[in-house]
Amino acid sequence: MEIKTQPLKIYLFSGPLLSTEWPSLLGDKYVHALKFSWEFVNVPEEADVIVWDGVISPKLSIYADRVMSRLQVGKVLLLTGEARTLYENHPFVKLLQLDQLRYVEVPGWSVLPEELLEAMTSCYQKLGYV
Amino acid sequence: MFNWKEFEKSQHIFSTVGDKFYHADNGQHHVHVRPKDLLRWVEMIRDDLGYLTLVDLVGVDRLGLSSKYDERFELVYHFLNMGNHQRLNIHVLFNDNEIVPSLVQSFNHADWMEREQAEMLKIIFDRPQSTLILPQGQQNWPMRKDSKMSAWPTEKILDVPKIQINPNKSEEPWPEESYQWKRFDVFSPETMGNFEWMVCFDPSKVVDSHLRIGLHHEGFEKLLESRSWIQVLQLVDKIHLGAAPTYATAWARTIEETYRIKVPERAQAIRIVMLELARVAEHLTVLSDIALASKQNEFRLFLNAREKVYELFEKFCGHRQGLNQINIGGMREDLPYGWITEYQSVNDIIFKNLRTIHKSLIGQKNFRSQLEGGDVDAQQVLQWGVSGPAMRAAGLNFDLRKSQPFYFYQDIDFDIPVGIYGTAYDRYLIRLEEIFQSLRIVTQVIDNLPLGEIISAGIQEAMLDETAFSSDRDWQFISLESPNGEAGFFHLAGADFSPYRIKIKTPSFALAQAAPYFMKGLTQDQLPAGMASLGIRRQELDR
Repeated sequence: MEIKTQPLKIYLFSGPLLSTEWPSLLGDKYVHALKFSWEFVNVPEEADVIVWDGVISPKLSIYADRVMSRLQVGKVLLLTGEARTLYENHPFVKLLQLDQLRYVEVPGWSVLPEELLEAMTSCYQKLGYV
Repeated sequence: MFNWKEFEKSQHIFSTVGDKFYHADNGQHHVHVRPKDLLRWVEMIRDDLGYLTLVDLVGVDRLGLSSKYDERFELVYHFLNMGNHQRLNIHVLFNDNEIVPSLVQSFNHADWMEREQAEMLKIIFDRPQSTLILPQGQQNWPMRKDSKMSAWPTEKILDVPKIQINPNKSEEPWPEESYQWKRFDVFSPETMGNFEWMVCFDPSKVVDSHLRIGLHHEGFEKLLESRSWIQVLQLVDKIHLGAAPTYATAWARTIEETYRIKVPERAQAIRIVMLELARVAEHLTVLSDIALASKQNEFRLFLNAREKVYELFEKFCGHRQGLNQINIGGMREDLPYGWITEYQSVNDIIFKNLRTIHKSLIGQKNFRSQLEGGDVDAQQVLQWGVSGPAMRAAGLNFDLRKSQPFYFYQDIDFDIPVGIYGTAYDRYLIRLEEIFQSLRIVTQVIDNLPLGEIISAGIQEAMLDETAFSSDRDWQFISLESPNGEAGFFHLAGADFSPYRIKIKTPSFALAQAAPYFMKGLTQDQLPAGMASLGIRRQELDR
């Protein structure tokens, strides 16, 4: 087990369903709720956890590779929302293949901040930190 | 405010074109024209009758739909007269491969509207145009009823535009070497994953920018066509989760107006309460975004205040966002015991805290300097079809809650704040004041909360019987004042409780189109706060 001293770095990518709930975690009610420190980052290359709904629309596919390459080096996907259920067998919207990826899923259309915090803890553990 | 007597006078004027081409329905005019007559009509209604705003444009493929017209395609241009608050729909009927005149010369913001309909339905306008939401070079037209979708072409990353080089370096356009292009793609915090944005600095101020949307295109309108009214009601909450009851209320009103379903007074009152609280929550989100973009720690305090509103939602229905409490013909649940007392304490806290946060923010020179600059006047706002706080910040006193009040809005005492310069600072002040006004509305409604049922009697049984609903109404456009502007739905009813065509009218679509223009003249420091103050929401750009 590795002892992590740097904050857990989270990148929010293209998850429109929860985009307004994530900032809630920055409010005083939740910002210090976890035992470890964390922060949002602006580039996926720095991220430990990538938050995404896993839906790849035709135009977005040009950017999806950059995020997927980060996931393939062992970083954790925090899969949000149930948008995937709407687009199964869709003719042009692709879904991210979850095989061989490390991911934590937060199901449901509307997610409580407590669930997000719990999912962040799971991601933290999946990364092998204590 | 909308006046029926004035409407009847206008009705008399329009009816001279004949019953075959004109009818009035639900307080709106409908005129049917051929493509060749469109420009003449638009000039006439704009210059002589004062319809200065093109609210939205929707196209439909009427294949297989029984109609008194032979043409397959229909475009509906929805105009608003802000003077007498009347609405006019111009229906253009045409067949495949007929050319429709473009309205870009008359209305700047018709550009995106026409591009959207052209790529969705393969409509040919008389001007060159590229796709807006779908990838370039696509050969599928998803909103056609006989479309068979297959793979889409691969899109490329935006190229840096070429600038015209002027050998005379003292005149515009300035030489290329002095310009600096900066790319804000979906990974940039400035765009928040909404769009790609190429901004040209000269090199200190913004002189030009190009914006590309459609990155999140997931075929939402097409998806809704295959769902029933009730399923649509659940899904439209997701258009803007942060202000969820807004679209659900607009959709419920659309169905209720189409089929003349009466909503009990108590349900109307609860809907107003939820709409206004959603406005408070959304404004607090935008204020927090503005503070964050201008690097002020007060953004946490706005989020704390928003948390109080979300707690109220949670106590009402268990959800913080996406309430899912609106039903056709009423509400799903009544306000729980003790909720009103809870609201009163939240009201006091928000009133007190927001004034303190505001005082703290405006005392900082850095904050003011990042929000000033980039003046926008009322004329420009009209040209870009912008509504909501961005419009009122530029000095236009127009709010649908006052001009076309529904439910109890006409009986409630509240004010509409109006700005002067149209800058980001004006938009900040407008949003702040609208929070106070919304809380004022909620307090008045709660003080006079009607008793009685929360859902129309027999509606739930009727929902099981498809023959229980019939309507002589064709197109309906119902909108309301959402936190960021006018939001609503065009609806053409189909069979079996399913919509034949739904077009979502969102304020972010017009705001995103106008954004490159609004940002002109801002410095690099001012750009993030300027963009945050518009309140563009990514899911609202989807179709």
